[in-house]
Amino acid sequence: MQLDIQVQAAHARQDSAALAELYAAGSATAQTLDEQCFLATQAYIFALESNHPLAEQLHAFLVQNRRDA
Amino acid sequence: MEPFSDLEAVQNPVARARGLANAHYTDLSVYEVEKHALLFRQWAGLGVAADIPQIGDAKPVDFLDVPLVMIRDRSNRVRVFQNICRHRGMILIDAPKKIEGAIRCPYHSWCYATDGRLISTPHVGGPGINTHEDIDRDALGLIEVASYIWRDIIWVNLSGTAPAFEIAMAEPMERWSEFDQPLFHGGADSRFELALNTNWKLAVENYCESYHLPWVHPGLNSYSRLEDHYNIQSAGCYSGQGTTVYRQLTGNRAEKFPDFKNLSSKWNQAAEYLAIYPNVLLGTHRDHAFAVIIAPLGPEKSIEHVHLYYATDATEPTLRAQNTAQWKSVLEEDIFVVEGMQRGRHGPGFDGGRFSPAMDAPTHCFHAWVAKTLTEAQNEPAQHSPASAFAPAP
Repeated sequence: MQLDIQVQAAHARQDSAALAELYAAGSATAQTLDEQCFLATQAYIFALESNHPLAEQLHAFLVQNRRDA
Repeated sequence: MEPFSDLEAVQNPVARARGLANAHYTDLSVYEVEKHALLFRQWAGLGVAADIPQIGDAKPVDFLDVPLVMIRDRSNRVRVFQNICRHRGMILIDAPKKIEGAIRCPYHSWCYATDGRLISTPHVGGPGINTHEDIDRDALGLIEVASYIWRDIIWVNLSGTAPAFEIAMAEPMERWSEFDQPLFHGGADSRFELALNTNWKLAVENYCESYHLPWVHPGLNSYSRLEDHYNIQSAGCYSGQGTTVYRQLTGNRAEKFPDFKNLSSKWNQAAEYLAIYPNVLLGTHRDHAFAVIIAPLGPEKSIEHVHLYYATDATEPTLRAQNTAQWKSVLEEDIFVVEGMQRGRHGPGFDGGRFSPAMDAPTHCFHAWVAKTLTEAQNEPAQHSPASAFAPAP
């Protein structure tokens, strides 16, 4: 629940770097692979936008799970 | 629309020529034809590189209703793209900004690199699945517009059909080759805009000639007289005027702007003012230069974006502000003229007017270019169809 609130706040202030980190944290604790990949995708997009160093490992995770190229 | 009936008379020698008919200044359908023939198919001025000085800087510009964005990419190259996502046609960037990493579409977050490549398509194959066999990212990059930087101006050829810039603009580039050296934009105090209730062509036509100087610019004429000016014209490319008595601006402590380097002695007292067809007005002097980019906003509205440049990045602010004020005053003196001619184009008895054979040759040169270009376009109707223009390669 706390993560949801933080995500909403980061969206409200259009803080892409924070969104990358928050979604990545959500992905790391998600219960299913589909949920992990959904949240990793969200994190990856905001990492791309903000040039966040997380982008590389998020992309690698998605490719490894055949969710990205 | 019906073929133009006035173009032959416009292309007569200056002594016998008529000017363009009223419809070229007032009629929306003519404006649309001219938009394609005279602007989209040429190398037109869009903006200045000084607007996007740092890597990642992006500035959206609507040019004749086409949404474009100027971007300085990761390799420090200025590029111009259509400002639309290849997914749903959403506007990508709606205000000047710094692209820190990728350009993210605000709708479904498709992401593009600053060089235009489509690099991510989130959830395109379903939630958490970012690829789909039918979505070829390599074929869905941003639609790039041909562009070229000369004298800091970002020139664009929207149709992609013009000759290479260096070929199309070989003559003015050669004419001012001595000034082919770094230009430093004066910054925030060296730019301004003038909104004009006039067709864009009248701003070009007025700029071309010195005939009006004694009447409209008496201050300028007090030291640079009409007889000190000469006409400049090159059919199909540019025209303008020069003076042989340029006098440098001098501050209260006798300070002056530093000169551009290694100029020939001609430029000690000379200055030249060129209208580069279609929509860019340039001026150069030993110690500064300026550029006016005319953005047409409709048949009877335009805006002039004015930028002043210097030979170094360390000019004196007070003198710079004085120079900006001086040029602003001169260009403002022209407003009643271009707006008055525009109102005059609603007089049904006006037949396009006549030209002074001695004084109006540069203006007629522009009219003749317009007439010739429109004549050629009329003979190639399929090539300037709005529907087919600017489409990406299949």
